[in-house]
Amino acid sequence: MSILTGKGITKVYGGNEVLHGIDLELESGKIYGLIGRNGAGKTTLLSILTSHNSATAGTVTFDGEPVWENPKVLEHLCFARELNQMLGVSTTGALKVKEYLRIASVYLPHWNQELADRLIKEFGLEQKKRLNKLSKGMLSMVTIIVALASKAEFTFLDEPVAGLDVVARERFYQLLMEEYTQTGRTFVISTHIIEEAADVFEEVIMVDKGTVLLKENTQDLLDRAYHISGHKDEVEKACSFLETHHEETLGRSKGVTVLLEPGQKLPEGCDISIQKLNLQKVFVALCGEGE
Amino acid sequence: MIEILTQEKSIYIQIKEMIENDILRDILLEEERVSSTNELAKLYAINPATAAKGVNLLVDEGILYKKRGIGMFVTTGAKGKIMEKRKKHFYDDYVKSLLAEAVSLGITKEELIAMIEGGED
Amino acid sequence: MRSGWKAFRYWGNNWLEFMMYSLAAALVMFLLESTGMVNEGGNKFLQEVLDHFPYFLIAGGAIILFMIGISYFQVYFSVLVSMNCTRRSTVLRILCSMVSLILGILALCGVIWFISGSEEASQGLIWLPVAAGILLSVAASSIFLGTIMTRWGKIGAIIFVCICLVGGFMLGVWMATGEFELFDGSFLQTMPGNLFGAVFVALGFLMFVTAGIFSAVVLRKMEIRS
Repeated sequence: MSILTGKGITKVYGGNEVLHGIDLELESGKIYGLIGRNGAGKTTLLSILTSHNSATAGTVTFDGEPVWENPKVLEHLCFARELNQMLGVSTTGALKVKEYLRIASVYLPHWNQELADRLIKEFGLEQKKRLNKLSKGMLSMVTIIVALASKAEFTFLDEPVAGLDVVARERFYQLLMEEYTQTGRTFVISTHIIEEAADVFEEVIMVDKGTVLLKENTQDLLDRAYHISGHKDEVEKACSFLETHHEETLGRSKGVTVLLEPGQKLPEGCDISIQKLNLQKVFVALCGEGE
Repeated sequence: MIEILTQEKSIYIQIKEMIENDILRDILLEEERVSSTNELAKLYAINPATAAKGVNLLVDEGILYKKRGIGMFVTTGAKGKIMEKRKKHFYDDYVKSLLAEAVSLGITKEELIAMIEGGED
Repeated sequence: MRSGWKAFRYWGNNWLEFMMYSLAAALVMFLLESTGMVNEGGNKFLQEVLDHFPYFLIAGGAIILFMIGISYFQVYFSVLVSMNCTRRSTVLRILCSMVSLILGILALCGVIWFISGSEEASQGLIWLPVAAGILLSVAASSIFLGTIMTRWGKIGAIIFVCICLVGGFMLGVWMATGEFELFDGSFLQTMPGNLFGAVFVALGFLMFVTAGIFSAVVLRKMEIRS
């Protein structure tokens, strides 16, 4: 088993600290979900973990070996970045799809051309088109093809489903699970569309304003998150020793999200409603406005 | 087995209950092989670890057992076990909340019993 | 290099493509220049073509070399690094590719002149090292420009070009006013032909290597932005 470790990862952009000393350990064989709001630092973090970007402070190691500019380690990694629709005609956007994939096949050591061809056909990707002439959906598909066909031990995807319609998104999750169950490769996927993807994440990493709020097994997190509501006084009494988030008040009623610590139990005997939450709601409770 | 996963319960609990329902409905017979966690993962587009959590709960309860290298199988007498378990939890799962709701609405016990006796449609 | 045969095929394809472009550019310029020669007719015409075409090849090659140098950095650098090549090795690949292009052009010129066998052709052959120097320095400047554009964008490039123009202008004025005896032209005339060529190659090579080092250092921590 391999471990990708980040210690004290800090990134400063012109006076602004966007990542504050992040410590992270990613084990092989899991699917991680990296969720966070726009600007929380997800892409920056992924870039730093894969040598696409250098950290201002802190280290990233793979089984103890530094990742930065290290070909031996980079062989095990693949970061399929989100291709922007704003690719210029004088930069990467000038490349044709065919050429872009050709470069991938040359330099990604475990590249599987058969899988790539199969996916190109399924997505109906026009290989002769230039990258800057592709639609948002097609660009996502190129990213997905690179990620899946790379057969890299640790594969990182940044917003892979941005621009895909719901049918294509479902297909992606299917393809992902097919690939994962077949090879057990590690995937780290950042996404906005949380609820759909929640089922495929074994662990979820929540990033907010440049720090990691939590990194936990998805099911464990959902097992300890509840929404408690009812009369203001009852709710406050019930939650007196619990970690609460995202309080909402309307008249005399109050609703709050609680996260149980190990050993804590749900309040009993109070006149309150207790409901389970899905990942998206937990995320909004922890990272939403007014937190 | 092809139910849709909802958001109201943990996924792994739903997997567990789906397998139990299949056993109760004779979709899965005793000593028959259950879909592997990988197959479940692919079918529902969920993480195999999550499916495994649900399956393992059933193993712990003696409803499924593992044959090394082959897969998961339904134990003999599983159907009976499930029915007994659900009967035991019937009070907690259904009656408790029914009584609480009745109390908050001011429905008396006699009215409740009348409802139950009259509701055989 | 890590990816071995596959990478060689890929860059080899690129090399062929760019040789074609250079040939095409040279051909266009040649045709424009030599419409007058048709009248001479026959063997003499072929002789003239063989003698003069390589100069156009070098000119065409220089233009294409300059353009692809910049495009290698603008287009390929970030893609290669995002595909797990180290920044160092990517700069190296670009440098090697440009060297092979230069060699290709020089070889082609050499072959054409060799076939011609005339007096003028032999002069050309002796002149090849000078051509090498010129091509190397053209490559060097495109590496400088490409690197600057990648790191500091178009604005950086414009500033760089302005500085060069101003600096070059000032240097020229300074020399013209006789204040600075850097280059006494007469010393060049007394140099034997071979040494003259060798100096050119050396200078060109020096520029090229400097540009390469400059690129590797400036792009050492270059971020990938898609």
